[in-house]
Amino acid sequence: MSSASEVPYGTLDLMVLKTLQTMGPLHGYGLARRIEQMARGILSLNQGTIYPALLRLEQQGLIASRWGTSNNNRRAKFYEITRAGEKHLAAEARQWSRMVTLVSRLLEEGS
Amino acid sequence: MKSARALRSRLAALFTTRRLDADLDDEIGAHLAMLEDDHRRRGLSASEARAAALRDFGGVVHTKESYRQQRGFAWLDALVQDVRYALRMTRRAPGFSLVVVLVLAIGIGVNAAMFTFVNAMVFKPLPGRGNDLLGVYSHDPTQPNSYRSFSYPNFADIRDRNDVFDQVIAHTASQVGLPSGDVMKRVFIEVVSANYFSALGVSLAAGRTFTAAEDRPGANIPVAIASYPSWQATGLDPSFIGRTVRINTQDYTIIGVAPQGFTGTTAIIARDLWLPLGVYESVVNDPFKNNRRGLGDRSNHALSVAAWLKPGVTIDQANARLTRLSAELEREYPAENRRQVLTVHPRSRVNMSSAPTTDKGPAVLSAVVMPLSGAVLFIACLNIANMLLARSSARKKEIAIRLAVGGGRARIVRQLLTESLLLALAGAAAGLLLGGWTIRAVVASVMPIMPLPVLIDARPDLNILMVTTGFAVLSALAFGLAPALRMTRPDLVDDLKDLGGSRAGGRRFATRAWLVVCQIAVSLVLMTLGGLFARSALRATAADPGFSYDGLILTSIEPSLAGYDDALGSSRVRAALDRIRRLPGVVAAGANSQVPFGDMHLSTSVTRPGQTRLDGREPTYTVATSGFFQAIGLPILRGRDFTPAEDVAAPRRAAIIDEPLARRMFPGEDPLGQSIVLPVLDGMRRTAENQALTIVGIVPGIRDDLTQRDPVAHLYAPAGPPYRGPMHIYARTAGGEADTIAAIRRDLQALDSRLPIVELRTMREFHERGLVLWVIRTAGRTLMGLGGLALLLAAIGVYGVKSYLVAQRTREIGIRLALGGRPRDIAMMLVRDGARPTLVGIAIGFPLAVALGRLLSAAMFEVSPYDPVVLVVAPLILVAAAAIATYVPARRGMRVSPLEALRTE
Repeated sequence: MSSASEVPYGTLDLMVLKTLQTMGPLHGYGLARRIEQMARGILSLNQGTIYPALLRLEQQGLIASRWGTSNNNRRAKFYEITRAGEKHLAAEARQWSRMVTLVSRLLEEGS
Repeated sequence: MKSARALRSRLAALFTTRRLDADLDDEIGAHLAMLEDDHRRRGLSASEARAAALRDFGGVVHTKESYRQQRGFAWLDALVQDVRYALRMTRRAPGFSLVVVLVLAIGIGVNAAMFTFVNAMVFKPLPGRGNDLLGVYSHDPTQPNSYRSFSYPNFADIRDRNDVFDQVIAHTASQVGLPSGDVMKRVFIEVVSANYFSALGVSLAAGRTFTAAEDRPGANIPVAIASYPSWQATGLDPSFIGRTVRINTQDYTIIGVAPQGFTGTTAIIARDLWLPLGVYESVVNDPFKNNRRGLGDRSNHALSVAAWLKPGVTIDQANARLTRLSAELEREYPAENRRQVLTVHPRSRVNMSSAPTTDKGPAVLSAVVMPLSGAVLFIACLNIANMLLARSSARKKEIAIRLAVGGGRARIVRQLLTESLLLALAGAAAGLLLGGWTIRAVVASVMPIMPLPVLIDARPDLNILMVTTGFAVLSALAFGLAPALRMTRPDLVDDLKDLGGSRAGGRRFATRAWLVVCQIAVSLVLMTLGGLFARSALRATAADPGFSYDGLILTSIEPSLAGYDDALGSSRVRAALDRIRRLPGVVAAGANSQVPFGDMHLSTSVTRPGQTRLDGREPTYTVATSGFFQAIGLPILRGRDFTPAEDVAAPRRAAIIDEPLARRMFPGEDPLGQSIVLPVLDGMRRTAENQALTIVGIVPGIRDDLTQRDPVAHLYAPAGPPYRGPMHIYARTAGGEADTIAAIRRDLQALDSRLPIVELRTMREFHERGLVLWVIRTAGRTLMGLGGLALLLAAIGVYGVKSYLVAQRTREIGIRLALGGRPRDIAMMLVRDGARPTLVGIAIGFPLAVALGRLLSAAMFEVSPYDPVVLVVAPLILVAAAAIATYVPARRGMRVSPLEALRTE
């Protein structure tokens, strides 16, 4: 894990949105674990950092939350992506791929 | 929309902090529990699982903190926290907080009251669209001072023949008589065009406005719109509309009530009634106006005209259009409109003159009074700064601890300032209350003597609230910033060890001493000015009018208020004078047209035949009957008095002048028998005609009002026609004034029960109620009050510093006493130390006071700004007050027991 890098600024929001879109409603722990699984070896994630991100997304109306019960009968807050969130995600994803294409092109040219 | 939602959620979060915090705790708790479960399932022990869970989560506290920051506005959060903390701190020291709030309430209250007057005079928007109103003026550009009012036909032409004005209104003010007990009350009314209220954009509190039929000149439909206070006096009785009110001699039906606080097109000046143009002839008969010609006559220049521009039209465009209209009117009606040019100008807020005027006067006055009341607030702030510094020793430990555990200095300063602001706002709220009471009291005291009713709303408007809040914020900074900065820069180690208190006399005290110096200096300035104005008020009260008030009774009769024509009116006045003359106890009686030291003085131009003009101030022009000079106590120096025959003779031939006029017109000559030329007056209005009078007597000069240092020139003419207007009868009694007044009342009632008597009192009472005297006295009282407050505050300041100093030096005093120092010497030493800031303050304040006194000396009555009494007494009082404020704590120091003093460490 020591070689894993920090989460780049702004990408956590995108990851949360995408995960919620794919997995449906999740509580904070489930979300963190899912992102951790996907990111194993690439990113180090303090699970706590997703909470400010979740609040930010909720304030922007991209996700919604409600209290519910988890599989093992614990009271937990469940998050789910909204229509605005889906749209935002699509736009952000396009933007992200364009950026990635651009950056890799530049890097390949340089090498 | 996104940001709006975030804002809403953030704002909501501010007020539901506690619940949201609990939510977050729950959520994080659940997260950790699930993490722990997973770890246990992988075979870790309970405690290992717990540790692993916390590690994976990574900083619970940090997460919560950044979550909270995202949730609310961090600074608002901090503010709420600061305010809560400040509330807690002020509650912890209730006595201290109360004193601060009280001192501030005085400082801010004085300013709020002062600003309420300034606001009413200079800033407060006029009712409705009044602020955009332009005055329309008419004058002959080839003649100086030729501005005149408008005839109704000219008003109608301006209204109907222009494309620049949105609305044109006409109005004129007048005084009418309303019966009130056994005298006639003079009330102030305004005769207005039918569109007056609608054009101003104000809606009546009840009823309707005037109709076109009521508006028509000569219509004489007796309807009136009443003022709101008069409706209020009936308890807002719904049947008020439809009641009748007797104005002069005619009954008027009340058809409407003006809105509350309505002052027409001017600020401050209230009206008691509004009447339609159609009743002009029946009510407007004051001697300054011509009522023989009807309102419909183009030569009767009776109305003020004002207008609003159409949107997009400039004043220049309006003036251009009016110039063309002037030419048209001159062509069509050359007799009445020769060389008259119409113009528009912004209107004065307080003046109703027929010439354009500005509001420079009230603005300058405001610029003078506001700094004076501001000085009181300044002293109050210095005082509170001092108290805060004194208290800082008590709070040093708390602040040192906060700094030690890593509290940012800026954060702590902000916290301390929040406390100051909280106190300041509380003080401002109390000050607003105090200011409101003050205004009501002042208005109540001035109302009975004002020639015009004054309407000052004591309820704070937006301007006053804003300015008062400004005062609060400024004072919070003024008294809070320096102590806050100083308190957060303590010697950390010492303060934690609680040693700070014993290091007496250091720089901290120096700051406080300087604050006292400032207070003393400003107090001295205010006290000196207060003293000068108070002496000026005393002089004014005792001023010698040039004749004796003893046993002099004034009876004023205004026949026009009863609707009497000129002949009947003057015959009634003569009959009244005859009856008063015959009363037992009356030694002499006579009448004239204006009361010496009254509120109004008419002058006239006068020349010798062949001369064009007399240099200098025009002489005061008074109509006098035979016996007037004897009654009032002015000896005829040369020549003779008017004869009873001259009292009624027409045309008038004789004149009496006083010495000052004789010296100016006939230097080195004998004035008796000389001829003088003056314009014929119609009532009190000058006409273009001249008449020649022959001087038959010379009397001594008198002053017309208190502001005059020396007697001014007077010209007396007989009371016969064409004079019409009020007459004032003076009865000189040998004593028993009250009996004579009762006798006069009985006698005149018997003569004519409708006779409008507007004054019946002793001359001294009349003088006491004079407006000029009121202004001088009020200025004296106000400044004395401000000076007294300043003195009180400064004494509190000195006392505070001294007490602090004595407390600081307890150990030193103990040692001195233990070593055999005499208590008296120690007290002397303490007093001596305390005297220094007082003396420095006086040394600074004295020249300031003299300089300001010189600046304001124009407004003072017969008092030099170098008045020795004031300049000696004011500093002495200050020194005495400071000495007492120093001595009390010093005596306490003297009584310190050496043992106890040493034990306190």
